[in-house]
Amino acid sequence: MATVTLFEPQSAPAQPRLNYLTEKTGLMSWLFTTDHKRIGLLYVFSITFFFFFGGFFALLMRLHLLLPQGWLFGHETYNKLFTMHGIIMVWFFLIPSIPNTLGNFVLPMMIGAKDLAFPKLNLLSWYIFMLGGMTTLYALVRGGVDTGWTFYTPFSTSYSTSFVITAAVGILIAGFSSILTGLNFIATVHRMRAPGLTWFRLPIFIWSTYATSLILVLATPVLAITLAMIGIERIFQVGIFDPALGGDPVLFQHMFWFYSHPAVYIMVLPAMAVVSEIIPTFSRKPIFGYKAVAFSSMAIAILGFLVWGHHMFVAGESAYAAMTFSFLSYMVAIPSAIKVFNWTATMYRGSVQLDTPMLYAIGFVALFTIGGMTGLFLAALGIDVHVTDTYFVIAHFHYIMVGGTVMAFLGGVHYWWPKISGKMYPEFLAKLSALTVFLGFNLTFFPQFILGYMGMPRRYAAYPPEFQVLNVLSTAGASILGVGYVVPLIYLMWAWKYGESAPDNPWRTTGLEWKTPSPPPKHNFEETPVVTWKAYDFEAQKEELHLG
Amino acid sequence: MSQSTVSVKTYAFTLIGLLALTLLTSLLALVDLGNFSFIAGVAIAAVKASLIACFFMHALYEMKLIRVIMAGGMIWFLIMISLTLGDYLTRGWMPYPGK
Ligand SMILES: [Cu+2]
Repeated sequence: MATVTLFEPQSAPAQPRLNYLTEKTGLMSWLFTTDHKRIGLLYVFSITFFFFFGGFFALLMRLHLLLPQGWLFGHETYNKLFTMHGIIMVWFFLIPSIPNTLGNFVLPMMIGAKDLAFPKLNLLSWYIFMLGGMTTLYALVRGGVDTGWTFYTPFSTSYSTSFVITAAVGILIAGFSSILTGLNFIATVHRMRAPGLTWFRLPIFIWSTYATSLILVLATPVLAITLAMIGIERIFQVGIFDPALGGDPVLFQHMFWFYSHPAVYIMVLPAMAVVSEIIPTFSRKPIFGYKAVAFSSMAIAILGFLVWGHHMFVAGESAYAAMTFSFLSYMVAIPSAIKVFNWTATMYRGSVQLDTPMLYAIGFVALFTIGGMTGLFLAALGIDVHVTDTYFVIAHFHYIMVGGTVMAFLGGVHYWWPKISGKMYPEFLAKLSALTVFLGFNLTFFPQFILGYMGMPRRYAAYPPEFQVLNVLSTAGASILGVGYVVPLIYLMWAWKYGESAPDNPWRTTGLEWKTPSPPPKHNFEETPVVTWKAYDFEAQKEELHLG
Repeated sequence: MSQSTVSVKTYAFTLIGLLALTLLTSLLALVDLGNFSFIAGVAIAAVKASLIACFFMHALYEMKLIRVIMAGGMIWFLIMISLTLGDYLTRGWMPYPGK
């Protein structure tokens, strides 16, 4: 099997080779960069800031709920806390988390390209994102929003006296950043693949990111229109959602969830993308059922648009619509299950190595499975009526978004860290914090399944004393989880400066991004690679990768 | 990729067409056609949207992939409308209040 050696791995150049980090320095070289790798890092800094910001609100809420009556905040403040937690985490962390950071960094390298199709548009999308973020933070500084991240009408249009429009404008602006990134990725995958890199030779990461981009482009405009309509109704009293003006509040829920259910897949498909790279690497086997995994990403993207009504079973939706949406929601579980089975089958009889990224990936599979299965509970009409708007729902979607997306994000950050920074991180500490995150996460959210099933409603600032033990457990878990997130932040920054130099291919794996120096040169490859092999073909590259 | 050059004349005719249809919509508001008013209004809007897509957005001249993507956007819009109407139109079909 022909493989192309793109560089000499062992030859140490006398002069240190210039890379994308050292080629130009200074603040301006970052603020005006069009290099996808640097823009990826700009996103890393911004979303890390938003993550700890949103996480801080979560911690405050958990502390407040230590006592049944609550003890830290008034009810109005509590409403604002959960709203800002949701808004910041969903739109300023989860949606851009993996695509805009890791996707930006590795997508062009994985397909052997010098950059994205539209490098300037890529930089513009970061500025738009920051403008949206700042606008939302401005709403927060002025006094916050209390509608919940879902902005349900008629409260958001007629009754709330908080800064609804400012926050909505912030999210609307950030939406344009999503659309531009999605467009950029789609164009890049279509037109910038290296010679020989056919669609079925692409790593699964590309398939999943491509599916994500389709959702970004198709769904985000609907969110923009919906938020604009809230503004129009609030300012000009045009009757769209308010029954008193001749509107219909349920119409808002239809339009909001037409975006927001697919948005769940915007968050989780990239997580699946990362895991689909990590598991073959640390099992030393090609992914099991390549085409099934690739097509299931596309199936999730399409079916994900047909299920939004499952958020509205108790909102006055007709029984026939509810049955249809319930059935379609079960359908979307099929491609997700295909992926879970195929990741498991990939590990089966592989030589599994439990390095840090793999710990996160296995954690992802476990937690995503729990999150997905409880999603089926919620898609069942009978159970949903019982647990609607309880902590059961909270636990379910945190298993998907935190147990799924954040685990995969951390796994991906560790996996590509040697490539991004050119340095290795302290492995023992990293494994320890991966375990801390896993334990802290389960302690935080598993009790919430029980609380919800027993009937504790979400978004309440107080609760009956019987629920205290489980709430205290959850708060204890949240503080462990917090430690699990801060420790990687510290040692990764430490490693950036003092870590051991990373080899070009520390995991001895097959992707094109590993066939160029760490950190990569400005244009990624010394010469454009020609691809003659399938993704994850460890057998064909045995010699090159020194696999015994 | 087709570097299409659409003549100014085509653009001008499209613009005139759009303005004429806008006028027609306004006139439609003056006459009462019953249920047909709604159908006529949506039909005119659809014609206007296709004029914009075909000429201003170059759907007629672009490569196939671009046209597929434009059609995809339309299909997605129809998904949203039809499943939402699927709720509104089947309300009250069950012999229980509120269903
Ligand atoms: Cu949903």
